[in-house]
Amino acid sequence: MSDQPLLQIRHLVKKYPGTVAVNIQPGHGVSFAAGSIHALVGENGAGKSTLIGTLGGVVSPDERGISLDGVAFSPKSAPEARDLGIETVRQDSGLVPTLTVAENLFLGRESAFKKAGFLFPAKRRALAAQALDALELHDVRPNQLAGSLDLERQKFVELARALFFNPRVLIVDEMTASLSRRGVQRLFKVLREQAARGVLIIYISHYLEEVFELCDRITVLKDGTVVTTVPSGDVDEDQLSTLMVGRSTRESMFHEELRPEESSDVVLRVDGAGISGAFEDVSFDLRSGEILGVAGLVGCGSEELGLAVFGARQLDAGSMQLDGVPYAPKNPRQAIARGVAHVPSDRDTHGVVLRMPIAENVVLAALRWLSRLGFRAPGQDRHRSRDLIRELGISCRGPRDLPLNLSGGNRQRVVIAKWMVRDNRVLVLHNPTRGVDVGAKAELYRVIRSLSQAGQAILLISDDLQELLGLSDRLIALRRGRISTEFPKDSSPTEELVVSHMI
Amino acid sequence: MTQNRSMVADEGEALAVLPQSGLARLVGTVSGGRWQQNVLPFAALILLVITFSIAAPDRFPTVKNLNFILIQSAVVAIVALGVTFVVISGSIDLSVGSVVALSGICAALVAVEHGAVAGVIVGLGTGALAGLFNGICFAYLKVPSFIVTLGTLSIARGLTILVSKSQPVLVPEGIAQLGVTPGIYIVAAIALVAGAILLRYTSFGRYTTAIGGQETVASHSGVPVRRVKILLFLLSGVAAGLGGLVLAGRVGAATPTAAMGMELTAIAAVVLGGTPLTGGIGGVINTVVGALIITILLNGLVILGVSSELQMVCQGLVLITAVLISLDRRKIGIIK
Repeated sequence: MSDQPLLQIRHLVKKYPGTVAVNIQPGHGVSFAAGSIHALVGENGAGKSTLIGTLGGVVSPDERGISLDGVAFSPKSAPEARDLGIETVRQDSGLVPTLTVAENLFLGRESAFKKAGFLFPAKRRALAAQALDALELHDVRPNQLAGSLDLERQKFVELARALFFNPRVLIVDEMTASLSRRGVQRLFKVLREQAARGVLIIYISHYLEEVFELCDRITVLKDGTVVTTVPSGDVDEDQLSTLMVGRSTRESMFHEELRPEESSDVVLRVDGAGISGAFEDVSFDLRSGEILGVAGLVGCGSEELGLAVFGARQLDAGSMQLDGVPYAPKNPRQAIARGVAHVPSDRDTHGVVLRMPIAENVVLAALRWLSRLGFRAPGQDRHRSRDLIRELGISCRGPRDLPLNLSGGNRQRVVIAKWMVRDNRVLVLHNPTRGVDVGAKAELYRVIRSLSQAGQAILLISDDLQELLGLSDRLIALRRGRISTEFPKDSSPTEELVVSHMI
Repeated sequence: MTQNRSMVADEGEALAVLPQSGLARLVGTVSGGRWQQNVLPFAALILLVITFSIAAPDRFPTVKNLNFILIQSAVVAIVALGVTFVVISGSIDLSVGSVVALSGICAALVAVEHGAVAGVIVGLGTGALAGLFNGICFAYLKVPSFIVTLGTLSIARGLTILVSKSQPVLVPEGIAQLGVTPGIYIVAAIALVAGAILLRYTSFGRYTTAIGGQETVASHSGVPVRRVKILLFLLSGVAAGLGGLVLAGRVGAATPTAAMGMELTAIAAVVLGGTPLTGGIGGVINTVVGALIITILLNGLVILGVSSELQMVCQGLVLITAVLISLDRRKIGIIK
């Protein structure tokens, strides 16, 4: 091997409306050497997915300067990237559950056993057996339906599929999330063997201890840029957390506000709550006028917790009380009737009806109380929403405009407006400023603060640490579905400290 | 300089929708739809009238033919009214043709024995029961509406033939009045105005639109989704029942083979009026325009001497073309 790196990213820019996902400029790139196991770490939204998506051919960047083995690399599709020797094992399942293992292994690559347009299943089975043997997957049969395998075996079948065609680069994205301890060790063994054969492994995981155990080099991404690339022996976990979240300047978007009285009433009490597979034994009190932050990695169970409070998921264990009365909503309708509101993370599929006028979106949840004998004149709604449009500064052509025509930040304000028609007892916010630009964020924070001051109890679930620390009166951290710690009022934890309780 | 939060793929789509011509933007803003939904149907209707007036100047634009067209489209519009609601909610009702026939037969059989009023009640009730069956299978048992109503199409037609013993049943004067001038115009006007009010001025109408626009948003806004879905199919059944009464009145008898294929005509009327099958938008007036278009098209073809076989071919082609133009492809990733 020469000292020329196998894969070099000198320049990469990918913009989405309202946000720059990756912005790697020449001179601040990253090189990957053949035979190394190279970790990519960074917060949610740091640009990891976009970067590996580009390598895998599923994301087409706006600007790129990438070379593979000294040759310019710009695949137009996933198959083309695979043909160039880049294989990816993704976080979510990549198998078609209704096809057999053998069919899955060669999906899109049937040419290995195709002659004159005809497939030879026997040949496919033989090749599949070979692929499975290479990973010692003796308990998986080629003719078995992929859907009949447990998640761990499915992930290993995907790994077998990636390795069978002798890739030069293998990208492993959060694969351990679905693996047992033994599975993780087995994966590490395979990856080390592959690296020894000269394959470049790009490894992505939220769990830093895995990164230290497995990887030779670590590249830290933040806000779409490369912060640094270091040999893994040169840093420890604390330093890495700092590199991941550290910010040179604090935005002045948060104001010290009046904190709620210690004595204010408990509005929502959650006691030993659990949903199997999501979270367990979660207990907390949420007071009137308080903002309780919930920190945690994607998949830590915080999303399900928010949905359970809103009645969109049902608890398997534990109980809740609202204003001292037992509270077990079977659906959002019942939760809303008790004064619980929810601003979802994905506003376009859960928050607003994109093709329904703003006015109708705004009153949708309150129509039950606004209509008389089921009748409601659209004119009244336009009147009502005009006030909210002004109050929240939603920039649109008027109450008849469609949310479809609005920017992310304005759509989000429509979702919040929806929950301002009536007063809520509890407001659950999930990533309330996701995909919203900086100016609009500050404006949304002001609105959230004012709702809290009006006495609403707010449960703030967010991937954005700065937001959590800036808005929350108290903070709980979830790690793999359990509360790992609680930061009481006025404890002012640092981002690094919170992160250390999340991972 | 805060974090670049995950990107919403849909926003690219939002930007792509913005450029529109001035007129289209005006119309689109006013009614909450796109120009395909609002301008095209009217243009098509006018174009059809002009074309047939030129092609058959002595037979198409006559008072007699106009009256015929209006009565015929009133029947289509009444049946299509219920289908409009179902389609706006994002589902489909294929059973209406058979339900029209079944309701007509049941109404006629009862009316002969117990009078017109009883007949009307039974006719509407039959439609309601069929719709309720569709609604429960769809909303509670989660059978896709396409399949449920396809099944009901067959069930209702079979029952119609059983109940009638394959014989037409003459209807008494009271019901016959519903199918001729001025009765049919009064019935259609009341039904359509009530439908328009129901869609625009009631919670039920809003919920229908919201479910069709994005069902998860509706459910997370406290909309009683299942109840609304059942009511939607109930409504469609009642409209078909009313259609059965009117049709029997117009013909003077309920026949077991009445309204064969009327589900296609009704869906064509809905779609031609500019209510896309993807749901979430549309209106009653659109369907009235659509009913006029499809009726005039078939009427014009008859006048021009086109054979009934070719008319069927034509109707099918028009339906596919209408969907082709009106379907909002950005809303559905994969079309099956």
